[in-house]
Amino acid sequence: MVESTDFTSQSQQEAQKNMSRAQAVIDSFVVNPSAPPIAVTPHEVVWKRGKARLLRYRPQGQAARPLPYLIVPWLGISRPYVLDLLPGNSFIEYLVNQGHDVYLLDWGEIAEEDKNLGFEEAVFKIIPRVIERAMEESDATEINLNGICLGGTLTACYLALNPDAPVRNFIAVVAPIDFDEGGLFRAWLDERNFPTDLFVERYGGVPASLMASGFKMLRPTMEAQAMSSLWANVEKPDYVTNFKAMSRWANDYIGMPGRFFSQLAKELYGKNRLINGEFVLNGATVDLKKISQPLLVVAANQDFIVPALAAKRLMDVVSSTDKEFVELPGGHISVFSGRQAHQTLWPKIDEWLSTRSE
Amino acid sequence: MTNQNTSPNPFDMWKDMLQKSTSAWSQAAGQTGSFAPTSAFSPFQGFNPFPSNDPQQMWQQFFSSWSDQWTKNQAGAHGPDVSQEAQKQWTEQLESMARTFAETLGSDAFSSMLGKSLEQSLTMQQRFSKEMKPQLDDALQAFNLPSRSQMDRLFERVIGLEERLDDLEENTRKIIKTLSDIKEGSTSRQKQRTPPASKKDGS
Repeated sequence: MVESTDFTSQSQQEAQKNMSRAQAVIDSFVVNPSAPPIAVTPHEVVWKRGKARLLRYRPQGQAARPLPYLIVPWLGISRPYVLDLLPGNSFIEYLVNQGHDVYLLDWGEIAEEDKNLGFEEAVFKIIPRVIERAMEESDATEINLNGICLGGTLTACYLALNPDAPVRNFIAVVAPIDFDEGGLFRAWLDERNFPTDLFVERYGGVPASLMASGFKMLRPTMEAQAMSSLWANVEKPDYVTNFKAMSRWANDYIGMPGRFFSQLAKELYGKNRLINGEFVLNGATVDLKKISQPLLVVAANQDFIVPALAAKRLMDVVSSTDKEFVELPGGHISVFSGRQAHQTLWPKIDEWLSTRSE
Repeated sequence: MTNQNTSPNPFDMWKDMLQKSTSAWSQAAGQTGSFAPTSAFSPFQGFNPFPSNDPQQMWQQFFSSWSDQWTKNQAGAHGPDVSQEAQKQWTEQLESMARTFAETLGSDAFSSMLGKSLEQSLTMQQRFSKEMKPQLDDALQAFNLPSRSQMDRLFERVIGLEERLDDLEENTRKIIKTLSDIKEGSTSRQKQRTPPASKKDGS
């Protein structure tokens, strides 16, 4: 009898808790469905080419660091505002508050008309120009270069082809280098199965809708997991604000240019040419051994898009003597944009650079 | 009359039901064969969604875990927040399902099926658009509207123009820099060539 009373009382408490959660869901998503302001760190556009733009975020607070910090994110797939998601939860905001003069290359909204944009245009035209422009704007003779995801692959190609590039330090965050370790994308883009040419001919690239399907298929339970966590934390206003911003970003896909996708699928995922020293751009072979800058390679231990091994291999192929590898907790995005990044990646980068940028 | 002590746990009932149905399903599909029509043209041919060859594995795990939780709750062994317990269980189950999906989706068989179905779909679309394109273009022209390919060409030209502008700007900057370097060089040379007055006097 007592047990039964306890059970009833606990059930009532549970029901009340869940009613309260349901009320919080209604408050946050029905009564007040507005999305929080995103990408609000003050910036200016200092360069533009086609759809690509270079954004400058001036240092604030602390004394300015001597070298500009250039971020080259992934090309296509999704938008880079996840790097400046919310006030108080923004990688860029953190950097500017530490005194870094930050530049972000925004590749723009890629669509079918960009089908001819490939590695060559990015490596030989866009990246050198943004580096030059960043140095000119900041009146500096060198920069710190940070490539994220495929931006890390592109910047590695750039550095390998330009051993005298004015880059003091190189930071590669979750950047795929060994594509044999490329996870599910490696299996799906297998050249024996995937009709890359037909695909590019039909769509001129990867449309945003198919990009979304591909990434959602990578982790079919992701949304259920997100909803489950939301239900548990729905009464915390900060969690809900972050959830709304992240959901917006996570469903805001953009396309990938046809030429870039074709090179990525056939030469990198298909034949793993970059790590094997067989990747040729404009007649020049990309030899990663020519990278000699101090190097920080960052991987995430729960990354199923770029598994840690795919990123770590950069350590083995460069000729840098000052190099460090860190595997941090988190997934592909959360490692640099999640709540834990405040305590892990961001201070790590700042600390690593502080001894190498004077 | 039903004895309450022997009444089956609903999760056990569901588990049993699901086990029977998946067992029947896997027998029908063939344990090592495909679960879809085995036409020679089917992209699903030879595709086994569960490489471990145990289609019940995921559901067994799922229901066993919920069944255990239900038994614990009935025995009053639940924690202070049943929802938290349930949340924990659910998260673990989702993780387990994610691993099963990853195993399935990462298999050669799935990759092959994906490639084949995509190829078939693209070929069909290509044929369709080849047949329909002239008619669609005519219809759009009749309404004085541009076709998609015309718009694409226009966008490409605009992008090309922007790139040419950037190239021109870049070249101009280089020329200005070179001129300024030359100017600086000639000024410093001039300074070097012009000896100080005292030296001149002394020579």
